[in-house]
Amino acid sequence: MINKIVDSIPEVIKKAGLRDGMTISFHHHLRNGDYLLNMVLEEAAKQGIKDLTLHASSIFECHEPLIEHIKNGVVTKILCNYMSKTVGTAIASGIMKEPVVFRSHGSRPGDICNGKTHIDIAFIGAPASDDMGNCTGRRGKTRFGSMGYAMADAEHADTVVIITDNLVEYPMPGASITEDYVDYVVPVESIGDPEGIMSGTTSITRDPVRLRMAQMAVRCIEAAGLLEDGMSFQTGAGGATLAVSVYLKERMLQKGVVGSFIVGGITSYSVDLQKSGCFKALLDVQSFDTDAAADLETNPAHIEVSGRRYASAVAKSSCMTGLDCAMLGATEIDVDFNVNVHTDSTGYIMGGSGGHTDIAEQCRMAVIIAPLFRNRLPIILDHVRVVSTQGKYVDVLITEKGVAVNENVIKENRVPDLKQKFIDAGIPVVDIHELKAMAEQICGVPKTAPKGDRIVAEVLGHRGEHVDYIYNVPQR
Amino acid sequence: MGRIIRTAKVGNENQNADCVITIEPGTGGIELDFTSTVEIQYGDAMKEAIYDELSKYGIDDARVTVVDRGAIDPVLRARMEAVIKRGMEG
Repeated sequence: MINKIVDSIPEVIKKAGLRDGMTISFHHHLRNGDYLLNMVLEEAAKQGIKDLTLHASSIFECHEPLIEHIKNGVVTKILCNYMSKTVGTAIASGIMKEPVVFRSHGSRPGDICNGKTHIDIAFIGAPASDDMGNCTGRRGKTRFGSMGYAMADAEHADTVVIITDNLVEYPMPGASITEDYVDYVVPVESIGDPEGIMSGTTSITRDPVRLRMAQMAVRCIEAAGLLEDGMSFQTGAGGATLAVSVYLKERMLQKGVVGSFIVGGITSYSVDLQKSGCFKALLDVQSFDTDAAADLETNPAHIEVSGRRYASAVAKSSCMTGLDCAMLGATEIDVDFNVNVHTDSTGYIMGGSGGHTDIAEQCRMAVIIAPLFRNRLPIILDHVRVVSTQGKYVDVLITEKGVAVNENVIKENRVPDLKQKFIDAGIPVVDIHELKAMAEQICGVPKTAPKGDRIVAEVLGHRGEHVDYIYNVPQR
Repeated sequence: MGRIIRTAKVGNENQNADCVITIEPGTGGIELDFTSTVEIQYGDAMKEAIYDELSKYGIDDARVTVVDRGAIDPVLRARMEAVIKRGMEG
């Protein structure tokens, strides 16, 4: 009889054979409440292990101790899809020799599956697991819902370690990751802070400017001819994009339209749309809030999908393949519709593609919703500081002063004659250069922050191809 | 000639797109302590607006502290005007 139970993190690190130069992976469903990454790296540091490659789907504020591990040479390379401000600022200041490699939620599992990135040991947090490693994110005190991003890691890592704070009887029904992939199971006191786990979503904005943009988004979907039976939809968890869900529901019920699916990070608003009969199914790679996680456990139309099925370009098909429209954000967009979601306007890293670039490239109509300026900084520039998503995949920009349509989109499945359709529907179509000028009239023309000459990160696209580099921010 | 005779403060703390401005009687000349989230992009333009508002009221002796979180020009100028008027009141 195999015994996979290991009593502690220090012990499992020894048993799994972690040593200098290895690649270890983590998934980010515990978001800003995650304990795993810090626990494992702290112990690796204690055991004197150096030169690790950290292959984490996302890095959050709670992972601040990582900065010390980088400085001490415990971690010398990072692969991720998203990096929040604190670690991002340190990286952009130039604390690490090797550039960070940013992938997307689609290209990460793609590159794991096709062998471009090899994982020696995968650490997977499970709010419920049996002693053989059949595990799920749908039950337990640290429930986070879908385990989508961890699935490629489980399937392809040499060694798979499940860390759980809720050991249940074998065989656990409804496992998201199954025992055939799992080497070790480590019971711990807690894998995360429930408060931080559910920090991924915000409530709907009450800002009238943003609500206006959300209403405009629904008008655009309808004008494009996409608000029809069988439609599919993706939205993020940002304040304005969440509001689109609310107005979309209103309009769908009014017209009696029944859509096919909502895909993505699923929120309580997506759940509400499905429950109201607006959409038949939810495809969930990450559950953003408690209601979404609870619904995943009980609702058969709420389907857990792997990161690969969600958005990989190397999958035979994915949820993106038939996606009609998506609402996306931008920290900067340029007159060629290139979007930056990696850095702020000073050049400090504070984000990442997540699914942005996958969604934009694949869906029929990718809509960026952004105000003309935020805190005096115009959103539309001549050139974005970093290209996260290439303009040739971005169809529409919605601002509070009008809607710009990109006529240079190269997608085969794009909606034809989009600009004319918008004009016919009475949507205020404005050239993106004009929108840029409007913002500059109010804010003034911003001076460009200086860019260093050292590459601190590389941005890869939906297919794992090179898109851009991120340079250091010169320190004064 | 305007004169700042007491300390005055305007603006909402930690409010995006706003600034907090404090004005105090000076010790000979204008002393400006300026920080901004958009210092690189708009620092020069903002400082120019601050000095411009001071000179409109003929203030040449004051300590001015500006903590900005991205106020556009009309907001900055309105805050300046308010803080100067309060600082000049008896």
